[in-house]
Amino acid sequence: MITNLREELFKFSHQKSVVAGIIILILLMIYSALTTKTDATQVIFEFGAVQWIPIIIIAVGSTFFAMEYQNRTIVILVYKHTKRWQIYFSKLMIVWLYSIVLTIITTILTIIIKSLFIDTPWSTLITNHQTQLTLLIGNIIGTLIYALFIVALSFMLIMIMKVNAVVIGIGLSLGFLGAGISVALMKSFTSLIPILRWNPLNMIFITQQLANPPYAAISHLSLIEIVGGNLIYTIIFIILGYNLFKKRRI
Amino acid sequence: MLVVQNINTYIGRKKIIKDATFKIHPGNITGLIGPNGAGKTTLMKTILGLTKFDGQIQLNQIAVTENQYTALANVGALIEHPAIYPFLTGKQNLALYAHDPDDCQRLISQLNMTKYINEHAKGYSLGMKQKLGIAIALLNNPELVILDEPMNGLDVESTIGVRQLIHQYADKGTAFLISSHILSELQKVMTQVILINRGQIIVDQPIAEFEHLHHQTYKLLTDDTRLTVKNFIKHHICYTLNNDTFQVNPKNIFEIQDILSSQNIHLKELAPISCNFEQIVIQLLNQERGNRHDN
Repeated sequence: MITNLREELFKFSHQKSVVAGIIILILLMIYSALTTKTDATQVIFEFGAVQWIPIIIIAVGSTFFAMEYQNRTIVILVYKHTKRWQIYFSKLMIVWLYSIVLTIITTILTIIIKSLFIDTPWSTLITNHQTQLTLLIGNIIGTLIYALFIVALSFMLIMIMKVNAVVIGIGLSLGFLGAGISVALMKSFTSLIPILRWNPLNMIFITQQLANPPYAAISHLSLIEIVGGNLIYTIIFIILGYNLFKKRRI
Repeated sequence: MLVVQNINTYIGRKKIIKDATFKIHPGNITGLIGPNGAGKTTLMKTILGLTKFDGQIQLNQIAVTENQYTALANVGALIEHPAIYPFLTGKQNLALYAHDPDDCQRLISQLNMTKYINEHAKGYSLGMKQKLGIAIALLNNPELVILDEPMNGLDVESTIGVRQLIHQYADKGTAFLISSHILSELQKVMTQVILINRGQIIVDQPIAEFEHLHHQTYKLLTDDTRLTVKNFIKHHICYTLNNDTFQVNPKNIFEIQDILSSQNIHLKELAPISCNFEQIVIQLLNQERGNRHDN
């Protein structure tokens, strides 16, 4: 397993899309800081990074798996390793570790931008009697849990769709429209809220709700429910994705 | 070392390999020959556990299954196209799997890849990629190497180099399973031949035995070609016809003489001729097609 992780890390770190993802994220954060009003809300949401990280992960993650089929390296990858699940799990771990790296970079950048443009101290109470720092940490943890959901989803989607461009498209729609569609569905079919609140699109609210519990009114899920929902979906996506990977023709 | 027993391979519901059984011993260089679509690549993939199959595959008494590859720890392969990461250099591609940097460096030198090995594989020509793919297959002194069309895109010098390398590894005990359309090239290295057609193994013999058994064919000339053809078809005799000269299998010559005599067709010539390896393969395939047609 350690050999698998080492190999995957080696390949991953040499992919252009990995560095591109980091640069794009930094540029988007700087753009956001320079073009919109820099206030505490911007800091809490890391200048839009909370929204961008899942999109970047879905793009980088699906490309990372799809390239094995495009380059035919999947042949060596499969027979050189003792068990197939180790391949799938190693890739999953590496992309999730990437999400941690992205989160660390955005947090550092957020601290730098805040120190340059915003005077409000970290201890200032903002929403729901919580400090700016607590809200930021909540969002970071939410983003990392949601990253697990997104990595597992992107791997499952690449096994279904086989074309990473389609998966990236789905990732973009999920990032920009997912939450909106989920809210609209629950508003349109209020009687079905007990079921609809568990729809996968609703899971994105974890990135906000962990820091700001009143978001439960929008997601219709408690804090424990939304964390549990994300983790259960992650497990389901991993099981489905791995089974598709096992059966996919090489 | 490698035991393949009653293997049936399926793609979807279609059976591609039918009841294949053969063995490969250490140091053997087995040539896998067959027409396009015969199932050569599928058979190779099956040995690597990459396809759905039933039957038994064992390497050093350890079973290979669709999800268990422990037995393949000492196997190298090049299947269809070289499996190379274009964003890595040639050396990084090798380093990804190499256990010993010296072994890696030796292969780079032996395959004359030193000049470009530190460049990104994205810019490699087909031949350069092919050599890198072969080097990856030969890494870590494997016990078994499976090479699918290894001479694709190689120039003359590289072809000779690869051939020498195969001999060198085989002398040390590495077994090879090699498929190639360039039969003359394969003939120079192989010690065992497996002929496959429509998923069925029709020949599995040491090359010396194969050549001894199939090397001769007979040339036949009669005074009525048209009538001879008619009778051959009627009696299911396999033949090839070039102008008025037939080529027939030695095992049929007495039957042919009886048929011709009964029809008052006169022999003008009946004499043994030697065949090259390609002609033998073509004859065997034609013979097999004829047999299948009869059944």
